[in-house]
Amino acid sequence: MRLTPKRAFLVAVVALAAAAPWILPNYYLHILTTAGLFVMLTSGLNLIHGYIGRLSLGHTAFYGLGGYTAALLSTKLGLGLLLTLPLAALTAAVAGLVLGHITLRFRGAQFVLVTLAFAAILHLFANNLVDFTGGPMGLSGVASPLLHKDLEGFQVFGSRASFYWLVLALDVVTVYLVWRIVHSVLGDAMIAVREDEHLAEAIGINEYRYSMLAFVFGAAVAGVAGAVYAHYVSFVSPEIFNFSIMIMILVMVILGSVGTVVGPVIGSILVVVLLETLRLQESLREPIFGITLVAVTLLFPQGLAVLAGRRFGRRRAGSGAAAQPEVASPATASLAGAAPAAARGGVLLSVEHLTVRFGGLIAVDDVSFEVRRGQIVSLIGPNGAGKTTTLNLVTAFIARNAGRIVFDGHECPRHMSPHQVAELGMIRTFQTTRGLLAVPIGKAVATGLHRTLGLGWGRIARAALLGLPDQGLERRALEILRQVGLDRDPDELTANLSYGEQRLLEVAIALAARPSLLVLDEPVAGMNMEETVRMMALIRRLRDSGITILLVEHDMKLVMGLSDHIVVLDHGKRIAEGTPAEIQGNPQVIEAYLGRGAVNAAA
Amino acid sequence: MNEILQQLLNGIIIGSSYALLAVGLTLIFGIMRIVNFAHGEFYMIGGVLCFYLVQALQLNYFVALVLAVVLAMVLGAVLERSILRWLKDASIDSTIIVTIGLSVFIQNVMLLWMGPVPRSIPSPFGNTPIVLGGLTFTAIQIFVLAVTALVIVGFHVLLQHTFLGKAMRATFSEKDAARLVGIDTDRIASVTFVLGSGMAALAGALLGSIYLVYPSMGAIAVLKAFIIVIMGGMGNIMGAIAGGLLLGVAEGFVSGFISSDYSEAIGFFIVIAVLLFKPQGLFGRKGQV
Repeated sequence: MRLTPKRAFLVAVVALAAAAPWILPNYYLHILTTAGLFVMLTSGLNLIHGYIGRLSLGHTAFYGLGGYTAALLSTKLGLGLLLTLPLAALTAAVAGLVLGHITLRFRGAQFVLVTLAFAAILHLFANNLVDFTGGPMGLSGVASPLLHKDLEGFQVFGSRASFYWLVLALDVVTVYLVWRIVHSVLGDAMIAVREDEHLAEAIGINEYRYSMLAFVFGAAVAGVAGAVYAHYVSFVSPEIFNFSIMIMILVMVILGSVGTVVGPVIGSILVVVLLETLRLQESLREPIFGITLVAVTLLFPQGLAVLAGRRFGRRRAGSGAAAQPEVASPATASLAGAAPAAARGGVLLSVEHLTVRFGGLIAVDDVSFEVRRGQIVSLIGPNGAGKTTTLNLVTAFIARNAGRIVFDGHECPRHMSPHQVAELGMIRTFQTTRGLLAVPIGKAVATGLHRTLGLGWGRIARAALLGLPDQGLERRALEILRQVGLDRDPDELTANLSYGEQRLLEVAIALAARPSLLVLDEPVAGMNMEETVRMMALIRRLRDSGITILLVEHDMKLVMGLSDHIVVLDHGKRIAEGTPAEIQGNPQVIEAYLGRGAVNAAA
Repeated sequence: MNEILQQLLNGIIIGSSYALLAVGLTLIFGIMRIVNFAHGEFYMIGGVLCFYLVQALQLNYFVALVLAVVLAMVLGAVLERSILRWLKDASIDSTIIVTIGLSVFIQNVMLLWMGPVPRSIPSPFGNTPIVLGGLTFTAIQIFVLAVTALVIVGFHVLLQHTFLGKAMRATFSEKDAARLVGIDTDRIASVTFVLGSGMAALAGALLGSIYLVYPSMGAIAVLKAFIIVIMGGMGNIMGAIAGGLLLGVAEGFVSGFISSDYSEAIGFFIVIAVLLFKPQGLFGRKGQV
């Protein structure tokens, strides 16, 4: 591993921190140990809030659960720290798994409420199950095995040093793991989930899996922190579940910078040290925390680490010339994502008797069609005909009421997740520009490559623990950007692209996921003439490179110019299908679009 | 059998106040897209103000009740203008963090001012229990039930049969379209927040007249309000009324037949069941992508 200035700085910081017992008196060690426990809590919460975009207000539940687990194991069974810590982590992780299973499909109010109430319920049980938890009095006499005050040679450090080192070591491990996770493909997947869960699913990212990963990791780390705390103060009471602790953690994360690795560390140390030096009256703390949450969220939601980083970054600007992207050799200039154009002409997607009802409305009514390999198939029809609904059904964003879908030889069951459909090679884009708006475009396309990385649990674990070897994601992303004709700096934020460019980027992200069937929902809606022509050329190129295409579009010029086969829907029913020429002459189609009079006029 | 009816009655009385509290919350969410965790503090302020107006200023209970609600509404207007308006286009999570910050601030300032000791609002009716057909209740309980019923019906009339109500419903279902036809949606948001805060304050003052008032009473109340709102479907007013009554009755039965220690927990289990099996709420419709 190369020693960069940044790494040297980190090593120096950790070394200095490890040397603290030689330098600082016990009182300061205690403060730092407290801050260190908070670093564990805030790093986990940050992964949940900052990376998968869930605001959990039940983080203290896992902290308390870990604390009680360790206290019970220590006082009732006499287990030592080496066993209580892992068991506390396990208990918290299992609780996280259960709570996550219930809540992670929600965001906003539902998620917040259930996590919050979970902590409140544990508080209630801790208070009332007196025989088990000691009730409001708590459990005292938890062993503090690391207090080697009598051990020869350790006297110089006093009793605090051993716990300080333990917490420091746990902090280093926690921050390392968080750093690994967020700077790997796992972090990219989490950010995609945070920014747009539908888009993430559409390109084959299993939202549930990555949300759960972050949530359970945060829970386990909080459980360890709680266990260390219980051993450290040799006591645990229901107060460990208090909402005031939750508020403090939240202040630390938000003040420090949500969604950065270093932010929670800075926030934790800053708040703990400030509280100690200001020596605020206990009763004034919480009003100040409250107003801090309001002020930071409204005035500088990026938080301190990002603000500081921006300053620092500005000073450095220009020194680090961006690495020039490797120029792709002409041999790779064919579309990288294209699946082999095997068995051209065979049926790739077959939809039979597809039906869905919303209340009394039959939005799609007994629709059947086929998409053959290597073709461009268009779904057309007047507004409200059920075109987009059909796409949503085929890509499993909506569950159908009846019908059968067979894709690439696989029977697609009624309840399938969109990412499972994507996993089979059917990748879609959306009608409205969706976005990884806060993500640089190179990164966004690299996120699209997710499906191609073969991330089983083994590789996920490796990515989180050691990191995966460089797979040239950036280079591949650049290549795809060039292929769709989006010549922009890969570090440009998606939000800064023009509308037409954003739509191209969406296609690029979908292409990165290596579709065998690319499903486009109104790819040229809202585009000007020039952009439309460009998109048409791109779609044709994609088809020629072997990707089958199913699209919904209103632009008749595009549909008639591109399609090999057209399916016409009206009021949820299929009213015609055929080649463009056949469709143009079909009286039923003319009637659907223009009304009966038009047919008579034509006759 | 009598015991069951008794708990049912108690549950309905509490539940009617819960309904009032939850209607305000669901209205604020539906129209302003703000998940208002400070809602419970208006509940608390209603109760505490009512207590002080009766106790310290020796006002007549009914005057104090009205005044407490009006003062809470004024505070609501101030907060809406000064802080919540900034959240107009904010993410849902930002609205949660800001309102939680406000809630913590208000609650603790109140704690500094009045201390943690619970107080009781003197009842204007005396405390003699009334026994009727084997059921025991007090006059204040009947008063609470009557007032909440009246206010909910009044609100329903406002929503369905006045121009303001129509504008509110329009903003509720399609904000941009409402703005296009000339509805001042900012103004509607202000009115909504003030009305919602007033309902919370009334609920606090009424339940505070049966139970006790103290600075942290809003914290548990807001959780219950959210449980009800999620149970009834976010933004669903009828759902909030039904959910409020349901939670009140469920709590009554748990504390009557199991243990009052766990009556607070039942709502949590109900909401988890709802989220697992009917995530749009008991009365909500299925959403679309």
